[in-house]
Amino acid sequence: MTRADKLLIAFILLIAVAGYFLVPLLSDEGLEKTNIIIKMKGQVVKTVPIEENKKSAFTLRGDKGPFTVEVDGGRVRMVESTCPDKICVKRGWISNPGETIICVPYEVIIYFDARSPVDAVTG
Amino acid sequence: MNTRKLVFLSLLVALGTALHVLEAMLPNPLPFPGVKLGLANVVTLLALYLFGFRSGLAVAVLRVLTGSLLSGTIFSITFMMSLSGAVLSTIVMACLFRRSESFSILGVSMAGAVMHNIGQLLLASYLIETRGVFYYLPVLIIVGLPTGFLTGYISRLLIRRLKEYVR
Amino acid sequence: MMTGRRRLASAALLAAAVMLIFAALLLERPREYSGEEFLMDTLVSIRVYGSDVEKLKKATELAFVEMRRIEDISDRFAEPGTAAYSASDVCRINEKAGQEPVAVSSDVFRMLELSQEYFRLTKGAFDVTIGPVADSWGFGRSQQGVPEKEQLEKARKLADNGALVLNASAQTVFLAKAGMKLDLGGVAKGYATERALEVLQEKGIEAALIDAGGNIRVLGSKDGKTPWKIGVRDPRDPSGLLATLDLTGGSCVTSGDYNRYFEADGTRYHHILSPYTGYPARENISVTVLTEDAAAADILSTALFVLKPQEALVLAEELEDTEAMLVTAQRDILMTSGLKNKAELLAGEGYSYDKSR
Repeated sequence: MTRADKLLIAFILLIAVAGYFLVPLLSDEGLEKTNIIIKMKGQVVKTVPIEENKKSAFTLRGDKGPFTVEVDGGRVRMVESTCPDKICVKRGWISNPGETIICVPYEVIIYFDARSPVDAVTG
Repeated sequence: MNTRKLVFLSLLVALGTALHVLEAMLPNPLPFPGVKLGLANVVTLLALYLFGFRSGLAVAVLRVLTGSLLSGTIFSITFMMSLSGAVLSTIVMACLFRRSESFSILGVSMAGAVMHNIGQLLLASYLIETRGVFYYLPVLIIVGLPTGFLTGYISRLLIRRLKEYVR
Repeated sequence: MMTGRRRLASAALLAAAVMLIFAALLLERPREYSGEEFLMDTLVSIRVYGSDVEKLKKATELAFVEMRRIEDISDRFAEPGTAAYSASDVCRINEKAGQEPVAVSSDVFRMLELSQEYFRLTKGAFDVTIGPVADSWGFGRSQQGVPEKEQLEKARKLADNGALVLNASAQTVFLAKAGMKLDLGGVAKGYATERALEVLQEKGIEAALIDAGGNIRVLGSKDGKTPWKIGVRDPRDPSGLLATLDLTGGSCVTSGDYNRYFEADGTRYHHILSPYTGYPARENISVTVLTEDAAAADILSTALFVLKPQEALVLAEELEDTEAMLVTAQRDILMTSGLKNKAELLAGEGYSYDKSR
């Protein structure tokens, strides 16, 4: 390895570390947690209001198979998925605005809506 | 293009395809998308070093095309990501290669691996319309270093042997 | 040039001033106090806003007391012979059906007056004398099932709003036929909510939100200007929302076919019975009504649910200061014209709505 190589490695590491701190800042941060939105292929397929102490779970159909999402108050996770790598499942719980769960092959994103929260739910 | 070059490049594409398909079959143990050994990039490096930028690019693109075709991911998001990663990484590697007095093939390869991952994320964020993918960026960048090192090392060994047969 | 001592004094004074201002601001900061109690078969949450936490707490407690009082006098399932039974106006009225008029509290009387008004207004879609019919289905009790045709017909004969006699001067209620039974389930919760809000207002509360199991009543606003955002549950997907509505005041009540029901032979039978047929109403699957008074909202959401969508929509448009959103059995979403600017529809699979705004 040449000297230039080593400099390159150092440079790359620097960027990675910087990215670690910068990326959370770049993402859309709302101040309040609001609704949980699930988008599939660019379309919103489900909006779940955040209700404290309310748990729910549901299964949706992805491109080639189903996946199950669980909501517990203000946090959400992908419980199960039939996608090949299950990275979305390994993501675990997310609870902060700006955090997302993404399943690339199914084109699914789960994120927190940065609009004003629902004060109550009727129905 | 002489026949020898044509045959060589075709062999590289075929080899790259086989490696691509093989890697696609391996499950991803880590919770990060797009983490691969990247062995298929060896053929890109070989083409680049032995025949130049255009050949390198051609091999990279063709490898992704036929590899995706055979592993059933063609025209899917995964395919787009691989393609953008491969193209971006080849371009960057070619740039570094031009100045190859400073950078060894190891450095070039590592840069290529990192750029490959970045390219994949860029496209994913565009297609899925979210910046949330960049959550994985720091990790993927760092992971690119050892995989790039490995690919570079293998390529270097091969290039030494193959140099004579190519001229 | 100040001497050292002077400097110290000025600094101390400044610090004290800052702390005083800080303390004053902290005390005046709008706070939220919320209380929750299980009432009328549902979870009722009252949220009040203000700066004096003691005041907020007291007002909330009194509001709950008032709601319990209304619950007690309108409960028709109290066991005979118990204190609850004699405390319940409705039980006493039902007991004396076909015999004699019963003197009742002004609240129950008011609920019945309101109910009769809306019986006329909705051409019979809301009927508190539906008790016997509800009983034949078993709603409100533990054993539910599809009634035999004969049994249902007999019960329907006893559901006769014309035989409900109200005497305003004596404040008495008389069910003319023996076997008749009042059921205030479609109005009591709303009425209790409205009364609770009045209590809060009397206690000087300026901003509050009462959520009685989905019956929403708001007062003022949290920050003085932003309307309340109310989510409407997706009737076929209870963990998701169908729409959000902006509420600047008044009530929002939804009737749906998905909250109380039982299944028999693969068919779902829900608890909103049509006075016209004696069977669960099938025209709509969810109806949301917005209007000032919570009791009216409660009644209307039930009445509009029973009516055919077009009739319901026309009626809602005619009523002053009333808006409605209906989800029909065909999954069409209809809204009164005044609601279109205050509602935001969220994607719900399988629903169609008029996109022209």
